[in-house]
Amino acid sequence: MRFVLKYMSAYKKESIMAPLFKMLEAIFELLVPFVVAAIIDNGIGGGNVSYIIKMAVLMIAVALIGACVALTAQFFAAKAATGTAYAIRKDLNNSILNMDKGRYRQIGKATLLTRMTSDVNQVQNALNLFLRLFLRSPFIVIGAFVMSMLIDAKMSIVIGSVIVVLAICIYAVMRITLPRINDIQKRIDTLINRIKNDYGGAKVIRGFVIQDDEKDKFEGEVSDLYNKQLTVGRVSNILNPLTFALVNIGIILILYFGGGKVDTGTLSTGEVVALLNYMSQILIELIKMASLIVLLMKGIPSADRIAHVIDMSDNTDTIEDTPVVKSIRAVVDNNLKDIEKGEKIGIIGPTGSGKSLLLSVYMDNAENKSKIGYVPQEDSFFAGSIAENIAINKLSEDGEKESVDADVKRAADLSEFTNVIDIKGGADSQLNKGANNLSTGQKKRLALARALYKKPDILLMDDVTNPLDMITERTIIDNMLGSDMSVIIASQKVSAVMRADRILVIDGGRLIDEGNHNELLVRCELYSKMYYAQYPKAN
Amino acid sequence: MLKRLISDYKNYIWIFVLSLLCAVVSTCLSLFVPILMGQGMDMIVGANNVDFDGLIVVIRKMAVAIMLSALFLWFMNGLNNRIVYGISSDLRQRAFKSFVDCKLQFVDEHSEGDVISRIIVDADGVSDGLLLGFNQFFIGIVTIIITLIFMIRVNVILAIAVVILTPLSIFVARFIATRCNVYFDKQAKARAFLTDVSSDIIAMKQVINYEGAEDYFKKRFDNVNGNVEEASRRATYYSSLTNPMTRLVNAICYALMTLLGAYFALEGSITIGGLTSFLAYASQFAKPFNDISSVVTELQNSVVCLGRIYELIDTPSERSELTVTDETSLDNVNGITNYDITFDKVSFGYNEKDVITDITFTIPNGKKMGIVGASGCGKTTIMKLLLKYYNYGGGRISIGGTDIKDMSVDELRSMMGLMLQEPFLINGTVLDNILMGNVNSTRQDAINAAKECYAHDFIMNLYNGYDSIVTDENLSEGQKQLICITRLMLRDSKVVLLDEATSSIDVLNEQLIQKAFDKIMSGKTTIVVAHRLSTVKDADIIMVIDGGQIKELGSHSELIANKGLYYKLYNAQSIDDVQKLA
Repeated sequence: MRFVLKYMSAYKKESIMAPLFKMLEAIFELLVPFVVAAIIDNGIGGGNVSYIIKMAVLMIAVALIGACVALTAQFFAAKAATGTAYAIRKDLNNSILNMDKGRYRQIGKATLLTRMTSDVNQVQNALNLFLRLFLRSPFIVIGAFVMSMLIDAKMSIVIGSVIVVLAICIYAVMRITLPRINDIQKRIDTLINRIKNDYGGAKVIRGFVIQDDEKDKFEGEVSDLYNKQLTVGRVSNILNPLTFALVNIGIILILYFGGGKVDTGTLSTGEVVALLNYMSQILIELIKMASLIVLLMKGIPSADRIAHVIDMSDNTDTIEDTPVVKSIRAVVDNNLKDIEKGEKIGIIGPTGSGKSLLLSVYMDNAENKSKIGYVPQEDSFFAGSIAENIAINKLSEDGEKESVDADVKRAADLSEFTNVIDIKGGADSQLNKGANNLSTGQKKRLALARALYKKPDILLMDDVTNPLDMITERTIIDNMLGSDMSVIIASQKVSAVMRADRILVIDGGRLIDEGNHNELLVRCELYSKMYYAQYPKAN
Repeated sequence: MLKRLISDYKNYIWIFVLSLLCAVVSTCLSLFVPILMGQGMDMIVGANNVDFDGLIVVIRKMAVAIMLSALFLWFMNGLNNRIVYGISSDLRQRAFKSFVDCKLQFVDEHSEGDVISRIIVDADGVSDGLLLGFNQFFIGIVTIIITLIFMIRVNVILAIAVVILTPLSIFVARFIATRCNVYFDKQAKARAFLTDVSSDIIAMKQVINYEGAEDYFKKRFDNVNGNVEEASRRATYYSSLTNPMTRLVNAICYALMTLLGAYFALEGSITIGGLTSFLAYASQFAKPFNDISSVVTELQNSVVCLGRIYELIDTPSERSELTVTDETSLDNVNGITNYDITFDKVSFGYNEKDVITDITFTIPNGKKMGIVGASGCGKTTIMKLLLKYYNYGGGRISIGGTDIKDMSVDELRSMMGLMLQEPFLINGTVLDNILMGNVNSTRQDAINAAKECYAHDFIMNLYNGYDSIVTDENLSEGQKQLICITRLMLRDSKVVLLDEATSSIDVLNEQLIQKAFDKIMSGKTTIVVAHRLSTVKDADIIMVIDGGQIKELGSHSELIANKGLYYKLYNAQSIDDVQKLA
């Protein structure tokens, strides 16, 4: 929660003004019963018509000023809340971009997006309501109590005890129901999981004819939810009738004790009416406060979750290397330290052997990253033109459109992507979010074009050709082998690496062997196994 | 549609009526309290002028009214919960059942989020919005009528004044609400755009870091972020005007009422107590109107929800066409002893595009057919039609000479064992997953099958062996695949269908798994779809598909001798060709 205050400090003025103006509004509202009491006692009691008119005009004036004050308060609250949300999002985006790679993986993309969207929105809503209501409601409750004390100290004890009992009841009901509401949410999540699972496995579920089993399980889960809902309902059902009864009992008490005091002349009729009005004002605000607390309870965990992400990126101590990372690091240090200019290197191994890790360690250790083109295993693009996605490191520089165009074309030619550009209608045609209007194979080639765009000295390719057909794969490998860049190709297919100058065979994060294709085929059992698995010996 | 909802839930009608009755009683009693309060006030006239006996009587009446009103309110809440949760549970179950039995086309045409929202959100929307909405609507009307009657009884002119002034606050509220919708729309659009931009940045984080493009993406994000802030500030501000503005209008009305009431009190046509209870009514009079107007929007929304959930419930079941109990169907299936598969001039189109045309072939009993072709050429369609996932247009598909149209889907699929590219696991234990669909098998059968499929060792290494719950964290992709293979082994079906079942496994592991597959397939009529030719090479028949049509059909050696498409594909993957390159 403290972390939100940090961002609010930019809106210090607004954050102070909003509740302050809300308090003013509350004061004006508290005046109304007082005025009504005066009308009853002095106006009606004294038969004074002009006094009544004066007081009615005063009431209207108070209402108008109150509304102006409230509008100002809402403005400050909206500005502070949305401005704080803006600042949080901005910082969150920076944190994501600066985040350590390990933590980025650890948190996960879906979580980061939730933090950025619904969590920030949740905080904004809670903040807005907090600024508007959190001072207002307690102020009216306390203010009404103080006003009743001014009218009559003994009568205010009645009102005070009703407030206390009511607050305890609301607290007790919420204390019991709020954690149970989480329980209900968990059960709803169970239902959602089953629907998701059965959606994804629609074919298999039908193929194995287990629809009826799934229905039975779902039925059990639904009735579980139903029972839980009823149990929680049983407690929260009490809240409305209870508050209604308590407040009206308060009214009865005011009438009873007030009547006695009026009889002895220590209280006027108008004052009894004012006390009754304060009573009902308190009721309304207490109920508002209860719903506010529920909203705040939702906002606080969201704020904590965002803070966790931002804190993580501030945290500079790196994650301890696992044994696999250590041994891969050794391979990079010993075998890929000095790559000759134009040398072609293949990395091969089964899935999970550490090939991707090796390339990413190599990239992270490199001194001059701008000279390395890296095609990671996972594709990622943004909603923009094809050219923008290829020329990503030139985006901030304006001008030089022509040289950019020429470089885009060169990169696309090398990565066999030109025909895709033609199909899509030119390099300026737009890609969807995540380039999901391209097929997997097209995305791979686009990613390759992006890496080639800056004319790297060293190119790292992580399983780029795996989803491509044999013929395209061969053309791309030909293009890379024919260039004067140094190229490191990691793949689980022998066909992608066999023509490299030297090939590193990796398994379980360790270097098994190193050599050219012909040497390895004779010498390295793993290599020859992978080779003959892809190219079975003719029987 | 509403009629249907009512007739579907006839048994709730009496509870519903009872709930409305409770609502009426509770509302009437609660509205009676201000009157009694006014009467009480009239007993308190001034010093030495308080009628204590009368006051006690009024207070007793008040206490009874309050207690009864609270009691009935409590009853009503309880009844409403039964109705709301009961109906939403039932709608959920019906919708889910229909979803599990629906044709695959429905699944293709509706996103996962859509199905979830129908079963989870819409069911709540119907029960919450429609039933509670109606209840609130009803209470609102009752409140308005009773309040009016009470007010008229106190003072007619004052009552008329209230009726004239009250709509003001309703108009103000509605006016602001319609204005706000524009800003909420803009906010929603700005937020959606920010979500897109942000998810791109999150996905591209590493590339951005490596390419040093942070500044550009910070700027890009900041632009969108600024737009969201502006749209959001407007929406928040304008929507927060509603409360102060209606409060203002109500306060002005209240002042005018007080003025008018005080005048009548001076005149003597109304008592102080009467004025107090009147003002209590007048200040609450706008509330039921506002409630009703917000309920109306909610009601509209729940009718939409109701439509969406009934659409899912009404989705035709693929299993209803021929039921399992259908005797001819059972006879048809039980009569089959020979599981040869024949496609005779089968065509199938989807969205008016032909996916496959004129497919004709026969797989003899116990033989294996491999299907080869580029992705999207219609390979898997053949399997989908054989499983009756989709209804084919022209031609005839038969097993053992019986047209599959004469078999129920359940009986047809009970003959088959299938495995797809993505290993599918149900929520539950490893054992649940192996036994899935294999009702008559025991735990020991499952363990034996796992041993045969080289899965036993890794399963025993899980934290709870066969009783471990399967999750993405504790199982690798390959291990999931092994569980699916074990399931297939145990199923021991007459027909085996493999659709790229090993394509996500690397070549070395594939060789190990291949042994298990060989056991599963031996003596079974089998169809294998694969893009690795090594997987289909030893099939009895190989079919090459291109553009939805059969290009070549024959054994490996026949197709090689043919020097056609298969020959070309095979050569691109063959050892001789590669040796030339090396």
